[in-house]
Amino acid sequence: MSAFVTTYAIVWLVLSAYATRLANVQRRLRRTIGDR
Amino acid sequence: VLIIAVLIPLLIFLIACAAPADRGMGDSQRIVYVHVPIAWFSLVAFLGMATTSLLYLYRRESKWDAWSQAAAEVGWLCCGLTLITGSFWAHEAWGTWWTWDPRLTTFVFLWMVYSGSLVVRRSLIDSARRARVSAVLAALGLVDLPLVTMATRWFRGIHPVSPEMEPAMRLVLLVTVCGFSIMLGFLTVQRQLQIQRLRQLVAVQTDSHDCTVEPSWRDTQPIRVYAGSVK
Repeated sequence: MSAFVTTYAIVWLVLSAYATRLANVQRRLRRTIGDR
Repeated sequence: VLIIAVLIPLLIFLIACAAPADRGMGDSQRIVYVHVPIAWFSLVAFLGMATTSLLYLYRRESKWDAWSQAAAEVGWLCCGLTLITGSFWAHEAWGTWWTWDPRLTTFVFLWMVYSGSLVVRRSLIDSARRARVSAVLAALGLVDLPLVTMATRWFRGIHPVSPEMEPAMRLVLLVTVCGFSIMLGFLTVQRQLQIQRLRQLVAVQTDSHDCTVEPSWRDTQPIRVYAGSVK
C-alpha cells in the first residue's frame, strides 16, 4: 500500500500546486480588471 | 479551480482503494489507477498541443497559440508524473526504477519535446516568433506520438501491452481515467482562458503582445505590465 500512497501523494501535490498557481493568478487578474 | 483539483483526486483515491487487490502485486498494483489516466492525458494533451499548433500555423490566430501553451503546460506536468508513477510501478513489478524499454524511451522523448516547447516559450520575447517556433516544434514532435502508443506492439520490451484484469478492476480504471480527464481538461481550459486574458491585458497596457514573464502567483496586488515583463 505504501508505494501506491506515495505515488498518489506526489501526483496530488503536484497537481494541487499547479491548480493553486492558476487560482492565484486568476484572482490577481480579477483584481486587475476590477481596478481599471 | 482549487475545489475541482482537490475533490476529484480525493474521490479517485477512495475509488482506487475500493478496487480489489491484485493477486501478484498486491496493493502496489493500484498505482495503475493513477499512472494510466495521467499517461493517457499526456498523449491527449500532446495531440491537442500539436493540432492547435498546426491550426495556429495555418490561421495565425493567437487563440490557437494560447490553447497550445495551455496543453503544453498541463501535458508536461502529466508526462513528468507518468514517468515518476511508472518508475514506482516498475520498482514494484520489475525490481528496477528505470529500464530503457521502447515505451519508456519514447515517453522520455515526448517529455523532452514538451520541455523544449516550454523553454522556447520562456526564451523568445517576440510573441509571433515564439508562437511560430513552438508550433513547429510541437508539429515535429507529433512523429513520436504513434511510436509511444505502438511501442509495446512494434518493438520488443517488458512494458505490459494489454494486461488481463478483473471486470471490477477494469471498471475502476475506466472511472479513474474519466475522473482525471475531467479534472485535467478543466485545468487546461482554465489556463487557456487565463493566457488569453493576460495577453489582452499586456496588449492594452503596452500596445504590444511581446512579453515572456508570467505574473507571480505569490503576489496579491493587481497585475502591472512593464516592457517585456508582467509583475
